[in-house]
Amino acid sequence: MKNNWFMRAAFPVFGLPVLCLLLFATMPASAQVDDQGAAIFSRNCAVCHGGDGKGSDRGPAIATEPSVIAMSDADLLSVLHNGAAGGMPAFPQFNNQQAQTVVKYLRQLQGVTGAGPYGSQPVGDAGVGKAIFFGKGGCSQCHMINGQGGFLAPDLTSYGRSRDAAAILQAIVNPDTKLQPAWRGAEVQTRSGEKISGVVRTEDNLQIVLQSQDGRYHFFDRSNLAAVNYVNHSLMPVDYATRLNTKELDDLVAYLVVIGRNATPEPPPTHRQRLGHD
Amino acid sequence: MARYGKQICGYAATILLVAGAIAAHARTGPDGLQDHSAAISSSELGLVDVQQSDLLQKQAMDNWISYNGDYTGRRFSSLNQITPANVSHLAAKWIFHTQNPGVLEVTPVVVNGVMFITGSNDAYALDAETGRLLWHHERGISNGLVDDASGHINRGVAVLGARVYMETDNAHLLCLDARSGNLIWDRAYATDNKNYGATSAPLIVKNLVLVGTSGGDDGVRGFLAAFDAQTGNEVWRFWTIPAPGEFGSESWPGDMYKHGCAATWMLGTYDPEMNTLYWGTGNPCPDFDGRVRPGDDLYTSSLLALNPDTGKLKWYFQFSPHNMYDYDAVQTPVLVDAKFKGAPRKLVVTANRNGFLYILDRTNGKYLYSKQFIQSLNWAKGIDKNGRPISNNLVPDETGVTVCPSYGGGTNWYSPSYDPETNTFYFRSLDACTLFRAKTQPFEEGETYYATGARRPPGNLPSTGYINAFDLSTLDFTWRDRQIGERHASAGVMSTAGGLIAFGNDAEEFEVDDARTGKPLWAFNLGQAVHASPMSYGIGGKQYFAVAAGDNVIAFALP
Repeated sequence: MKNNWFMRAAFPVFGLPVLCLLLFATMPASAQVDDQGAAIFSRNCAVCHGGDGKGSDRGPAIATEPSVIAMSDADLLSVLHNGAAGGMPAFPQFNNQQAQTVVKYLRQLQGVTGAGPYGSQPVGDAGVGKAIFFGKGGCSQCHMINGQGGFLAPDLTSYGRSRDAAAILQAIVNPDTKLQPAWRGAEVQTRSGEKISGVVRTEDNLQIVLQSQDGRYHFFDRSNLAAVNYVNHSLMPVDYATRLNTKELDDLVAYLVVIGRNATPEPPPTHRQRLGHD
Repeated sequence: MARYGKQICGYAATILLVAGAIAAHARTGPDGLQDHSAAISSSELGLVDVQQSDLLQKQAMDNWISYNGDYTGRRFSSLNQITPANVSHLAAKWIFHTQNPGVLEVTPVVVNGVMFITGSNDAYALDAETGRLLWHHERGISNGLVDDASGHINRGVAVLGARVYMETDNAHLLCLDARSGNLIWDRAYATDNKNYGATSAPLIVKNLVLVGTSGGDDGVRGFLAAFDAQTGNEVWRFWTIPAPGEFGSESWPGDMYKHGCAATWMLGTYDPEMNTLYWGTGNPCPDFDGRVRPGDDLYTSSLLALNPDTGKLKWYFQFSPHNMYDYDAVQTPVLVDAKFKGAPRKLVVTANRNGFLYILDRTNGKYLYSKQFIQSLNWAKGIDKNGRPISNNLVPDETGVTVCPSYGGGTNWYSPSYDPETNTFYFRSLDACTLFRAKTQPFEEGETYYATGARRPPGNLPSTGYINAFDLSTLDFTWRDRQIGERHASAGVMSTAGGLIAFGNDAEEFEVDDARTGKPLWAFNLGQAVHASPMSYGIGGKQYFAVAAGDNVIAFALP
């Protein structure tokens, strides 16, 4: 499962009286975009796969499709050079350096960090990690795995599918390093002085919608608000490095990796063929 | 405590103390709708937590709680802000573009200002006032499907509590978290024949989620299944083709029962007082070759009355025994409490694909009345006193035989509507004919099972669409409005307490007519085909219409 949260970068949330919010960045590993990779992608790939790699009528969502994320760099380079069934053309004009730059940029779009999904292996005990996730860690108060847990933070069922253990550990202990502005919490104040806070679910220049802890959406015209204060940091607690010991962190990481790699692969996105008559 | 601990506590207190008091209508004014007794209160706006009492509401007001708006299937909104007098001011408020490469057939469901729609296997939650996306559950479409399932059609969701239920193209039932779109569970419910698929919205009854399948021209064995809404465990399954030795099995020699179809590809209706579920079944398979399925072919092209707790059959009524023209009976069976020939009755009314409108006693399935609504109808001489058609014995062969109504039916899955205030039943019809050919073929998984083909016949035969208003008091048409446009829409009708009907017309427009006269009052050029049925909802004192067109959902309201 992927929802739009999953696409939306870091998770600065607030307004939650919880002990622990385990929040993972899901967007590019680095805020530094590789200019050459981005330029090549934009000119050659985006026409079918979209500028963000999330697909279009002409090509699949290579930034989010698990089977693409799970491919090795070598396989991706091969597809780029040789093309693939289903209409993916070959790009033999790219030299090796250029091709590697494109793959590196795609990895950023995928949010894949470190050595990739088949890089470092977890050393912890996934069973113990599960108990931490749903217990001491308090992670499940905001995150869901296989239908169990909270809803304010991204579903982590398949999170570990495309990330290696070292990267997951970094996301737990350093949540603020990968903040993205696309998704954040806010507190609004009405002109009568009332305040409400929640996670920003959608907004534009005129309106803002917050979701509060009880799941309710709150709809506001900005013209009715005296102030909108965004929280420009992750509410993911920053003290996991000390709150959980090394063994517990390894166990938690192992649980996320094992669950992710066991997650049911989604059907690959392809195109509708016809309008049925029934 | 995290470094934001103090702040977190402060925010939490703010939420707890202020959330209820905050003007949830902060974005809209307090001007309520007329006679708007069931408007969303400020404490409910934005909260999705559907209770049984919500599902049992007898009036569809601000919320459009299920595919048809309520359990009766009448697709009637009790909102009355938009009227014949002001409809000329109706205007588009927003468009939501799904980026779905196909044509949407969804009816939106709205709960307290949150709209849920589907497109293929994707589900979306929208701010119903602006159309802005709140969440998106993304799931790729399935490969290797057959016929309608390969079109990846999806007609929408059901909601119970804070959970959203939908079917997928490959017949999985998904339970999603209504607040996030997260997947809670996923049940594959038709796995022993890959020609199964699903295109309908589910129906919630009590704590059960009811689902059927597509594949009704592709040699599946039809069934209706009930799943526990909490756990996803299957509770019962009713097979619409009897197994060997069961009542009706004489039509299905050998293992033909496994391929007889009677698919349950649209959702039914429910009478809580009778504790009865009403569900239509599709045509038999192979569609056009009746020689391999002698007899009536139960329970194809029928209306089933079932106990929703057990799945046991209470009664059935077969509209088109031994059908050879693809005449499904999945058109919405609308539950009507009204006088029939002077006496109050519990009725079920349906306009059937076979070209007749039927009125049955829904307490026992007894046939009461029928009315032919397709002028060119030639497959039957009429309906006898027991409700059985008097066949003209038009048998498709390898040369072909011309039959009316057409392959697409005198009407089809798109919604009818019943207005209790005028006691009038509205529906779309298509007067057209098809040349049916038949050739005996074996069933083959991965292939359709029409055996063999259908096409437009030679000659200048009619192909005319109508919107019909049938008065259940006079048992006659109040009006029939011939549709003008370049292509026939597969678009349902709805009616409102404002005295209006609304539908997608044959000119790719969303049209609103005077319900009493059929006079066209207003239309908006969508520029895209409508293959969906409209609905209406309210937020903050404003009534909206919404309809899917092309790959968009568009909402309309007064300024």
